[in-house]
Amino acid sequence: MTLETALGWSIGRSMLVTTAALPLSILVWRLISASKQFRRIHRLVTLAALMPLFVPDLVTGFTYRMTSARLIHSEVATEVLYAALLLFRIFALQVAVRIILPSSSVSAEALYSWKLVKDDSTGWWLSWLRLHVLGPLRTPLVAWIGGALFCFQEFETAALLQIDRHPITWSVWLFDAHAAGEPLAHSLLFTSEAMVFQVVLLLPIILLLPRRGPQTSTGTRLDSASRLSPAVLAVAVCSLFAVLGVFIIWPLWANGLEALSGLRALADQGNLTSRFQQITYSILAATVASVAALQLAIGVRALGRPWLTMLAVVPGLCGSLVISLTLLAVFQVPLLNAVYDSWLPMVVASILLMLPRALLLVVLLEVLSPRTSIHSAGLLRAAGGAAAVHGRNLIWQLDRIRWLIASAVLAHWCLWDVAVASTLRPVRFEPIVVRLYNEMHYGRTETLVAITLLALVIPLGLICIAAVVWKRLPEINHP
Amino acid sequence: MYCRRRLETSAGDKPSVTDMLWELNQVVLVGDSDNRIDGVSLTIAGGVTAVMGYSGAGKTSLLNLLAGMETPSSGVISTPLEGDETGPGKSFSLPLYWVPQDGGLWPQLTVRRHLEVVSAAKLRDPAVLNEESQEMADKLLAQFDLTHRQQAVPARLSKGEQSRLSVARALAANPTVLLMDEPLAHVDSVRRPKYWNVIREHLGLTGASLVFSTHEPEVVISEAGSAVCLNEGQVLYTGLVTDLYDDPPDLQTAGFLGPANWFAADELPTWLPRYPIQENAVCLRPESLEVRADENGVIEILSFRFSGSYAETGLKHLSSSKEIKIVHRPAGKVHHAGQRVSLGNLS
Repeated sequence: MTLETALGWSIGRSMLVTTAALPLSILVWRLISASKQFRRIHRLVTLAALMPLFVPDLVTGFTYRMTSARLIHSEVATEVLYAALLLFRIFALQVAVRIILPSSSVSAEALYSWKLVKDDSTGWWLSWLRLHVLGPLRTPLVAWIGGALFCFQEFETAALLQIDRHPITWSVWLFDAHAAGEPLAHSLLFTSEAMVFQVVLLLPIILLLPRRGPQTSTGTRLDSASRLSPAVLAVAVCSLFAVLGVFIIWPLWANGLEALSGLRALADQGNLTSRFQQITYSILAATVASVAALQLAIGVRALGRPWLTMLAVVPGLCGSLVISLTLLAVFQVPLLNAVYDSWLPMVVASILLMLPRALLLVVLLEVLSPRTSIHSAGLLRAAGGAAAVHGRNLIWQLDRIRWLIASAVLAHWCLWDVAVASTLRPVRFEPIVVRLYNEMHYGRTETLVAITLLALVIPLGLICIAAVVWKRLPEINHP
Repeated sequence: MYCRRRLETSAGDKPSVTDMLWELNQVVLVGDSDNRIDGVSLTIAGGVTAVMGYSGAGKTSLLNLLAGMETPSSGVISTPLEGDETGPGKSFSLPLYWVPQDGGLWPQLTVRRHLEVVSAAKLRDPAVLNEESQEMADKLLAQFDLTHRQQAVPARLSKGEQSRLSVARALAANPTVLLMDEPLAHVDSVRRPKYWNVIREHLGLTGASLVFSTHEPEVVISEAGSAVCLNEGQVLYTGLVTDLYDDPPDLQTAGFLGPANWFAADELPTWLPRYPIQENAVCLRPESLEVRADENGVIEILSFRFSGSYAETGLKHLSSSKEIKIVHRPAGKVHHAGQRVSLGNLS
């Protein structure tokens, strides 16, 4: 099979899947909006909708690898299985885009005002179109493009589901070709072909993203959720249950018991400490990259230069495979050869990969935690007695815990990215995700399931410890 | 310059907590393209101070600097405000609290909880609320018409309710100095005076100082003792509100406290022949000027527009053919173009 064929499959699939996911994401977003008055339900619904984004692709691929193997007689069935898994993940991404993107600066009143001066000239229609693209169409467009990019770049699930060449994706084709010894120059040339489609998608997304600060209008939001009809409610709730079933319940059911017996086996073999060490080092690298990406995103956002923002997000939006192969070439130039076999290339690649997501998280935190609210809480710290305690608690809730969660989410995505880790890792260190990826290809053992569980659980434990330590910090500073 | 009429306000006589709240020395706050605050040197004293300026003049930037939310790019801000007079057993709970322009509310707390949290300064245990805090919350909720919304979170409140809650929270915090950035801006004009009464009453009872920004001259005149006028990040005027009203340095600055008539010294005999001769220009507010019907007058009305509290009239001096537009006390009966009149000074 040629790269062009694989690209054709990938492009077609990404278009179809992201288009199919869009109406679903709109329905679920309406459910999320409607549930705002019931805070707990709102949080649960939002968490359920976004859950697929936090389940590593590798875990999904591993869980459904046997299902794919059973479908070996039908290429169509394998393709449908992969498309369905992508659909749920992309719908979660599109919901996230809707939540994160500030409301458009074009209000319903602005559109109506333009309609009032209608004159049938080309200029009027062009402006009408522009107002719609920046107004009611902006969020769906960004969500659609984001979904298409994500779908096009997906690698881990496809690699694990692929039994007999299907599902066909350019990312697996290129990764396998490179692993099989294709010269780097050829791999980069292949990458450039894939880049054409991504650039076509990237240009509008960059133009559509808000440049500085939440550019919200004071008028009526164009995407205001209206009352939910029973049919919409039913579809949205069913979608959420399906998401939970596919990404949480079934993986837990399929792997849970094996994981427990696997942990015992690991302990018996005396491998628990070495696996723990391997996971901890991987988490460390991921944390360094995610914190650096977050700090860079804050800096880029504060400077507010469009060209700088573009420079920061473009590499990450091209996907981990493109970044990995490009940096592999960059770190082979004589000037950088000294650090070729170090952690640096892997960390740099992870930072570049995470920057667009870090920027989105920074925008989200700006919206969720206005600076004035944080400062209002900060002023209370000067008071004596209980108000100071309340002030510290409020700052924790409004600011610190949110940054901690943002860092943790980025670190989680870094930790589970196979392409960057396997292409750019130092020779003497094998990140846990590379080990898992390699072993998952050779079948299913209870120890493998147990290591996967450890790689998921240990970061959670570390976040809890970090949260406890960080929460106590102000009390150490201000006794 | 001559000041003909002294404005009577009670706000200017309020006792101050300290002589000086802030001293700014050559303070600059850099913005995207221009300086948001551009080399400001200023002293803000205790009492009630209004910060005025047109949109984009730098009011919010100045208040953010005073609140400590932003730090100056250069220059020094010094303040004696510390926790000396605050804390359990002291008259004030905090050195400073504020009402930012967007309210700065906490999205996860209910309306009532906002008030309870900030009023807890005098309590030792954050888990226990005493009767005093509960009573204060009840009183403020009632005073700001928020009792029926006490269990709502900020996202469920209207803009006006959010404004009221932000002000109520600042009062509940009981600080030495209150900073308010366009307080009650989203509140309907009918109920706004009622909420200002609550603020004034609080200041009177506690002796706290207030620095607030506003676009409303009436609020400045009725509430503030001192004023700071900003334009493009620079200070145009700083001093007493009474002086700004009666004896402004120029017409632009006079405009911050509403419409004014500006007569150059050499024009005065033309329009107001009975007015004492002046060396400098004279500022006369609308209530000091009257247009009287006078068949023998040498002034003719060119245009007349009634605006409720004052009228705007275009005049022509027949012998010199000079034209002028004035704002004056509304006439008992409506004037019309072509009518002969004379101008009278009421102060």
